[in-house]
Amino acid sequence: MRTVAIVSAAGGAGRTTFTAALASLLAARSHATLAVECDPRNVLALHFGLRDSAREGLVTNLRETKSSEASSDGDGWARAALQSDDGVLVLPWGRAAQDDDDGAAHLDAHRTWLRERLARVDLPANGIALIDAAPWPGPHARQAIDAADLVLGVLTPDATACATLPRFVAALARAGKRAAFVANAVVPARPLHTDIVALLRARLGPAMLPYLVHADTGVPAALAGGANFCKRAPASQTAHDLNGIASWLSHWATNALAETPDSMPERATGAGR
Amino acid sequence: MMRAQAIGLWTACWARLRRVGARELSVAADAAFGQWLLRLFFRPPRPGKRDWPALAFAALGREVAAQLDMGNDRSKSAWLLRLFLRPRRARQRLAADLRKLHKAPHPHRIALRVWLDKRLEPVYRRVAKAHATVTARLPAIDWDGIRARLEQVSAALDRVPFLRQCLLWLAFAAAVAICTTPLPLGSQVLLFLLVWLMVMVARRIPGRLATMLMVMLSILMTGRYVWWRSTQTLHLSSPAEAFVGYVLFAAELYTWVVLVFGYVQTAWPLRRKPSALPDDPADWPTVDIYIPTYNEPLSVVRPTVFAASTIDWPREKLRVYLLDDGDRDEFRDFAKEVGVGYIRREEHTHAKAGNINHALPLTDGELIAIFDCDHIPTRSFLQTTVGTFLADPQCAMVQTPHHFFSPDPFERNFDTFHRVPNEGSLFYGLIQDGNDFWDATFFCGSCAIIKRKPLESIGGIAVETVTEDAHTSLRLHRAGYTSAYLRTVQAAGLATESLAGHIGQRIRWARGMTQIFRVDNPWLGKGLSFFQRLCYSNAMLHFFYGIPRLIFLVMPCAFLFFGLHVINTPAPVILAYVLPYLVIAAIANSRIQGHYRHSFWAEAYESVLAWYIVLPTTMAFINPKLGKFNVTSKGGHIEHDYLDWTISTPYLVLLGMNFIAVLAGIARLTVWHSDEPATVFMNLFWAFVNLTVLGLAVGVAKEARQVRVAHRIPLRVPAMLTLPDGRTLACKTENYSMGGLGLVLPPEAGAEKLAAGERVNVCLSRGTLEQDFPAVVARLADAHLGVRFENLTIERERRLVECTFGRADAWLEWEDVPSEDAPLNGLVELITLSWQGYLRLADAFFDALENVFTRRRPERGNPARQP
Repeated sequence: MRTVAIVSAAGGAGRTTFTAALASLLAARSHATLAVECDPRNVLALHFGLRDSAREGLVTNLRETKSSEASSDGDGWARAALQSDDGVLVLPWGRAAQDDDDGAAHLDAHRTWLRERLARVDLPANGIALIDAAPWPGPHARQAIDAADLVLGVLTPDATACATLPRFVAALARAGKRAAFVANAVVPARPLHTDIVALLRARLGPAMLPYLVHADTGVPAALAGGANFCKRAPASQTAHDLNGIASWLSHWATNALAETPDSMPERATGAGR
Repeated sequence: MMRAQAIGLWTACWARLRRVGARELSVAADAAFGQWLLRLFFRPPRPGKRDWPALAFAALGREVAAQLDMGNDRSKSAWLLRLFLRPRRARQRLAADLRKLHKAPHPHRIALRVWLDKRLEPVYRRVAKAHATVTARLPAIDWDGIRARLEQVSAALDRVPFLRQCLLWLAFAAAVAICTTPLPLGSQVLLFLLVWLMVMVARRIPGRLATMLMVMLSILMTGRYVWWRSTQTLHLSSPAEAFVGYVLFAAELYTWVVLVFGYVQTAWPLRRKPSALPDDPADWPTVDIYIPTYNEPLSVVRPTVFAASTIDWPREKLRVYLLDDGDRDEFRDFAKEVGVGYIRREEHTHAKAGNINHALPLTDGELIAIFDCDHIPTRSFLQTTVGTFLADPQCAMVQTPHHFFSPDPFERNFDTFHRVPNEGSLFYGLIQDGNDFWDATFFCGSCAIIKRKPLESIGGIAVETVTEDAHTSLRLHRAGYTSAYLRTVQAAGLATESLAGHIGQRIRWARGMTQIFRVDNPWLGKGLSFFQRLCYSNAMLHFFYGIPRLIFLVMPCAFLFFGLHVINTPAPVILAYVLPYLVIAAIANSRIQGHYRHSFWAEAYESVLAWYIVLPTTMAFINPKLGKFNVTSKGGHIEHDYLDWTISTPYLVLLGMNFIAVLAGIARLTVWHSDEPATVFMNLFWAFVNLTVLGLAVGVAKEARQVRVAHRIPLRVPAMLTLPDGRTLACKTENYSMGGLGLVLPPEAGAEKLAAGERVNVCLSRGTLEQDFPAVVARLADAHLGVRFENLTIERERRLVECTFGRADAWLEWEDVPSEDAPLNGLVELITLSWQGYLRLADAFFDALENVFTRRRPERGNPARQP
């Protein structure tokens, strides 16, 4: 099973939408897909058509650990996973006991908490786990990055993304994780967007995926309507872009399986085709 | 007085009657006759109910009007007329609308062809089946293997010292022997059959060596014919016969010279490849791009300027200059807005040559690229051509093909665009390539790049003739520089819009080449190699085809009218010598030129122009200083179909002459019982060939209506369409034109409804960069969307040209000619087109008659009805 963490340095970059869309597309490409939410906002399940925010999830494990300090081996959280119509397994964050409790303290104490949880998940060899993480820097993002084989950075074409980019890239390099970056919500009619995309390409080089995800008003409309955007509007450019990225991920996962573990560290931060 | 009173009384009475009657019948006082009639028989309807009688009456009235074919005129006289006379129907057009015919799935709508096909189909199938079984039994011959072996053998033989010279001398001796040996008729026919068999076998083998063999055999047959003609046939008895006979001989001499020169010129096309540039852009030379313009509208020049400013080259080493010879302020302002240079001059002497020469000292790039104002370059022009200068320091000029994305008059009037290679394709596809082998590529005025120092050393562009381009490259060659030709299309422009414009352009070339022939003859003077002289003089001799062609068009009349024997031998002997010469030459030419010009089309092109270039070439030959530079007009629009009578008048005269000659020939056979029927038949056949060719010439003079002004160029790249509500669609482009784009919506888009006038955004990409353009929907039919770009800013327009015309691969697929030359098929097609030409002539004649008799007022704004 390969793990991909989807992180961004700014809020509102579209990580959750991105994760949900990619998960469906990967499931269509015959990968056993698990979408995990490492974000206390607890909205991933809504993208799969759930009406209310999920109650159980990863917080179940946090609760169990709190109640029985000794072992954190309670597996109640495993029963909290949901399955969507297209066969994607969804593990939401869940509703915490107190609304503003985001489990940061626990996450800081146990740096490898998420990695250990995911290690207990038994998916077939071609399975892919997508982790939707809260904005970086933060304990949730750190957990996701730590647990991942590949970090997919979602960048919006604005100045904040450019400003936070160097630190972000440096942090990923320090973590020794392979990183790939995608520009999201690009409107080519706006010169600012095209200029920033060009700037990002120049800065990131091969680490930036050749695919952009264009902005499409059908995406928020599909979410509001509880529909899968790529199925509802397969002719849209955004659906094409997402399909391209899904194919890229699928190709990476299949190839990465064929590689030996020794060759991975050489290409730790290089990414893209 | 009495009369006025009577009338007054009568009107008063009638009005009274009407008022009374109106009250009684409850009709309005001023109602129409129909209403009165109705109310006489039917009561008015109750309030709230429909007036059924009135409705029925109205329906009846409409039905009657439709039956009588009334039209819009419903006056009493019209009714009366229609009751007795049928309306005048429009005359059926005799000629077919070729554009519709070619779009139809079954092309053979012409009745004769359909009948012939039905009759010959079973025969053809049987023959094909027999052929298939026979070839299945025979061993398969590896033609390509033969070619490979031939090339190996020739390479091996080449290594033996002196063998080449020995073989050449031996071959020359053998050729002389073969050509000058007189043979009896039977042996000559046998020789023809033998040579024909050899040529047919050689035709199967691909490669250049087989082509050389076919050319050699053709030269042999030509040599035999020339020898026989010069020695055996010039014993002419009477002075009239002698005069006409020697005139014919001179015309044939011209064709022999051009044939042999042509073989030499196109013997080995060089197929030069672009040379690589050095890795470091700092080593690349500076380039100036000149765009000379005189009276063309700004809309034609805009895309060229945009494309030139976005050519791939280091920004600081590229400078674009608009050379305006018309002193127009809007051009100056446009150049300023776009950011290119603008050069004006006070005196306007020597047209384009003077314009360029004036700009030379004002600029300082090491290389100068010249584009006509309507030739739009691609982004890869400089990167493809500049390498040649760096690879060969003596190279002074690199030429690329002139490509046209709109049909020329022949292609438009015969609807052969993309089906048959056009006239320029032979020159730019083959002849210049052949010239390049002998280092005789000449400058064609546009789409070329010249080195500054050599140009300045010869004093700039030559101004003595009207084809300043060929003259300039002649001078460069004399000075010892070389030139190169790259066969990749790097720029494209508009072809001449009308036949008149086309002829005007060719006249200018003919006049200019003749002037160079007189002023700076390539055979005289030093600095040129033998083959360079040959190639240049062939290019100039080509334009003297006017007089020989006219002579051939008129010659059958000499015997059929006057009984003059211009070739003093019996007909079978003539045929035995002429046929091998013509047939083998046609096969060899088809092999050499087949991709670039289909067989027998040269007849069409040359015949149409023959009359018009006679006078300019003769005048220029006598006195080269005569003649002014006439500019070809570009960018017009043909509103209606019409037959250009002025252009076709000379051909109508020739047609008449040949037709009467045919009648005379038939009379000779039947009425006067001529004692040499074979000669009559031969001349009749010649006259029929002339009639076919003249039919083509008249047919091309019927200008087809141009459907749209902006020509569409096919392009298939992905594009993103943003709909007015913000959703996106991944589309593919289909075609583009200046100011418009055609898109194909994806099938999963379902039923997207877009009304004309809605605003959308189209995003095209150039490499990894995306360019977005606001557009307006023009129409949406099936999944094909047409959008118009309106009110683009300068920057956006530049980007649009970059993404469409400026693409490096914009013209790549146009280099693949659609169909291979099939000589006999092509001949049938030409005969069909010639017949259509006659039908068009008949149509135009009847139209003219109708106009005279009916004195119809010209219908403005109403295009001629299509058949």
